[in-house]
Amino acid sequence: MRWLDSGQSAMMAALDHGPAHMPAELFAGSPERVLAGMKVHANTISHARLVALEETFPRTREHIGHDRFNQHSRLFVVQPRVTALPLAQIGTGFDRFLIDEGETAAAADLARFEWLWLTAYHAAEAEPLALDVLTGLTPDELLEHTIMRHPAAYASQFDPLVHQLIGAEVAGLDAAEAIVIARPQAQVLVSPASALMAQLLAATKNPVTISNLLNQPGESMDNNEAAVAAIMQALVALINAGAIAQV
Amino acid sequence: MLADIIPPSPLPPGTGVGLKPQHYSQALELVSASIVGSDSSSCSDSVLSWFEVHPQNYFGAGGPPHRWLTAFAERVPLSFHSVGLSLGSRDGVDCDELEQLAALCNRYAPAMVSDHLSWSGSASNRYPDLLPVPYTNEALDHFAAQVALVQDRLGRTMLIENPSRYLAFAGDEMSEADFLHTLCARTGCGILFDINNIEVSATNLGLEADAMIDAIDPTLVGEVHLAGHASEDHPHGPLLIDDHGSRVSDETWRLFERFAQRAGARPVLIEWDTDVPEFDALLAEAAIAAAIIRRATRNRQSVRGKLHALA
Repeated sequence: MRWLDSGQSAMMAALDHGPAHMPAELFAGSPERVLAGMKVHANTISHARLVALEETFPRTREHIGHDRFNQHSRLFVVQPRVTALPLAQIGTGFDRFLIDEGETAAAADLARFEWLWLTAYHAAEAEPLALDVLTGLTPDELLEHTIMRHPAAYASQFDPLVHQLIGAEVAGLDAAEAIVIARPQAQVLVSPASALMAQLLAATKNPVTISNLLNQPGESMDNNEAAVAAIMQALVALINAGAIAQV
Repeated sequence: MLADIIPPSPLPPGTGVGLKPQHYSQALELVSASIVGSDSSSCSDSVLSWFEVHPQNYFGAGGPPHRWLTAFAERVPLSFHSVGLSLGSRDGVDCDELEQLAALCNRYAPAMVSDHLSWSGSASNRYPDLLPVPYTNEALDHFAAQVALVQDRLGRTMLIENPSRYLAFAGDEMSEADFLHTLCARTGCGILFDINNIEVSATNLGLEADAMIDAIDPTLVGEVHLAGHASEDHPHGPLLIDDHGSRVSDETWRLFERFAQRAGARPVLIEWDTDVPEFDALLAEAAIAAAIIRRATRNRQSVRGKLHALA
């Protein structure tokens, strides 16, 4: 059996589908010894993937219980899309998979929170915008000032369970409409947010002037003084949360 | 035979450990203290001379891991020990991994880069494991082409680690040492010699560990790895599992000393990747390795002195 033509495929079939697919002529030694060797590799592969998921979603695992988490994980890690991922990305889409497997929206949202937290942890560095930069500007300069979402910042509305669980560690989160996850410097910060803050952060995915931000289409508020004040207040809160970057 | 040619290695010929997040603070304190008052860029007063990391753990764009790695890179030489290039895969090296590795090398300029004599599945099915490669001319041709491709992209030579094996191929046409030596000759790469892998492979496959140690040309070895392993008892014999989860075994220490007597001082790494202990436990293992290197160096000098007197 030529290795590159068929040997690797045969070995992968045995690793993926079990001993019945073992290529008898490929390895030397007794069948028992070959089977034991293949088991070491199969166990290493499975263990590494499962541990990576456990380490990515510790709160979700605690919430739904180890046995159910393990049951879901074993099915998830053999999905064709998932087997193509490096271990660092293996949590991609796990929240949606939990829904498909019949878990509650709350459990899936907790997984989504944990994934965003980890994404923020590893995201690119950028200088966070300091409020002092804006306070020194004239009104016209302020309107033309360009801002952008910090690459390590996310804001979203989550299931009440997430607010309750994370709220035990972050003041004000339990009653908040949304949550900001941001890493302006070394540490990931979790802050309470309004729905407007989440909406604004989404609108700053690409560089945008504050003037344009004040005229976002789809705003429920008219561009009146109160609306402008509300948007500026939300923007200041995002800046204080470390969620806006210098451009 | 005593090795007369020391292979050029930008790593210092002392001991290093695998850098773990839980040890960042203590390790940085140690190396920072060691270089105070020293004109060397390495922590020469410490038992540790360098650190090794898996580059895949730093493929994220930013965050605390990069802040720590930057601090270490400013103080000590680093070795990047990749686990993801999948050099032996039929489809060829994983290009995404290679590009990320190249970017990381540009960012940190590590003293050494290495990966394994292995493969890890395909693009659609990436196994987080290091699977064995048959020692055939077909596999050698393919593997050498992939090593050359990586070295061209990185603009540097690399080291290839001998694997821990649980399986032997029926169609093997050469020994592991011959495979590695030919690979080095064809590509200019060096060997990362994992002594624990020798004990694991020899036990699992019924080979002579001493002969495997002696078969490796020490002038090609740019780095040595030492680690612990787990052991399972089976009716068909013991099965050693290379889990990097315990102290270096007595047998691996013995094999290392056998190699060191012939090779002299080399950069030596203590690997401990699962059930990671306190940092002091790694330092204790590194101290044992350093003592063996010193003893081997003294013995080599003594033998050379006697040979000189006879001449």
